[in-house]
Amino acid sequence: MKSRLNVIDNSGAVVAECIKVLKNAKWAEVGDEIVVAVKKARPISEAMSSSMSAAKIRKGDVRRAVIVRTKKEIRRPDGRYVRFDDNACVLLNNQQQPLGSRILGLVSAELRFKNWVKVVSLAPRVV
Amino acid sequence: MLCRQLLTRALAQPLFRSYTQAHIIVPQPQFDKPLALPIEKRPNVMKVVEREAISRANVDGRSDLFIRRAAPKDRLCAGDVVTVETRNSMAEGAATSSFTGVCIAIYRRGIDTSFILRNLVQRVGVEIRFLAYSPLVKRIEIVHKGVGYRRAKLFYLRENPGKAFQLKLLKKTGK
Repeated sequence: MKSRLNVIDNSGAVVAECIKVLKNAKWAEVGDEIVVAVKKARPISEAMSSSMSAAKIRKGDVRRAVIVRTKKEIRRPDGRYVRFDDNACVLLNNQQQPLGSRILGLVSAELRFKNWVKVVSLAPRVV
Repeated sequence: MLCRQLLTRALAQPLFRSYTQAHIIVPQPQFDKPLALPIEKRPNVMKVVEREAISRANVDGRSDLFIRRAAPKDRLCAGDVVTVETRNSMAEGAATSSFTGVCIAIYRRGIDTSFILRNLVQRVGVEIRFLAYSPLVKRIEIVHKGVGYRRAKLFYLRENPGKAFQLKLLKKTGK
């Protein structure tokens, strides 16, 4: 809750703040869905707004997102721990599909176990 | 009921017969004598169990990498560039994946010995803590010995990486 995450897709958002964890828990981990408020977004240029009329992300938008990297280490079933240097998420639409058409950074392999197939297939690298 | 059955069965058999039951499996000792050091007069059971576990898991001589008092060239040191190849499952002939990184910490805990590898993948720092004696770890290989590291734990590389992750070996996996 209230933590800032980097948004690593091309939806236009840059930084988002977690405002709700969509499960009955105090915290979310990789592969969990959250509600975020966009705190920083890329400026929408005229050319972009005409081509991408569907998804226009502005500062202050409230969207759903899935966490793809955490700074807190994650335990894998084989006993190893994986930890990333930042917290990152990918914005989702109402059908729980990624809002952007591309993902610009690596994602954790936990997403594959939690059935985020689309996010995994878009990601350039899965660790 | 069961008790009564057993009793009648026992009475049916002749007395003074040696009871070696076939369904009890007596394990063959894996080691001729307990793995105790010569100086230990009364070996500690838990230490012996741990040594047996390590010698069972030590399939490719990897325990030599974690001897604390070995010469630095023979053992794993903080600052070394290490490649770890891991099996994706315990099935025979399963696919393997490998990760290369700078070893920033070693935790010597007997059979639970582990180490942390750190690398930059797509400009994001990734750290993986491997269990050294896990049967899923296929191979641990020191690719390059670290030079100029004077600490046992190199957590400062998170904030001040310097040129630690600029090696070509590391960049290959970082892409």
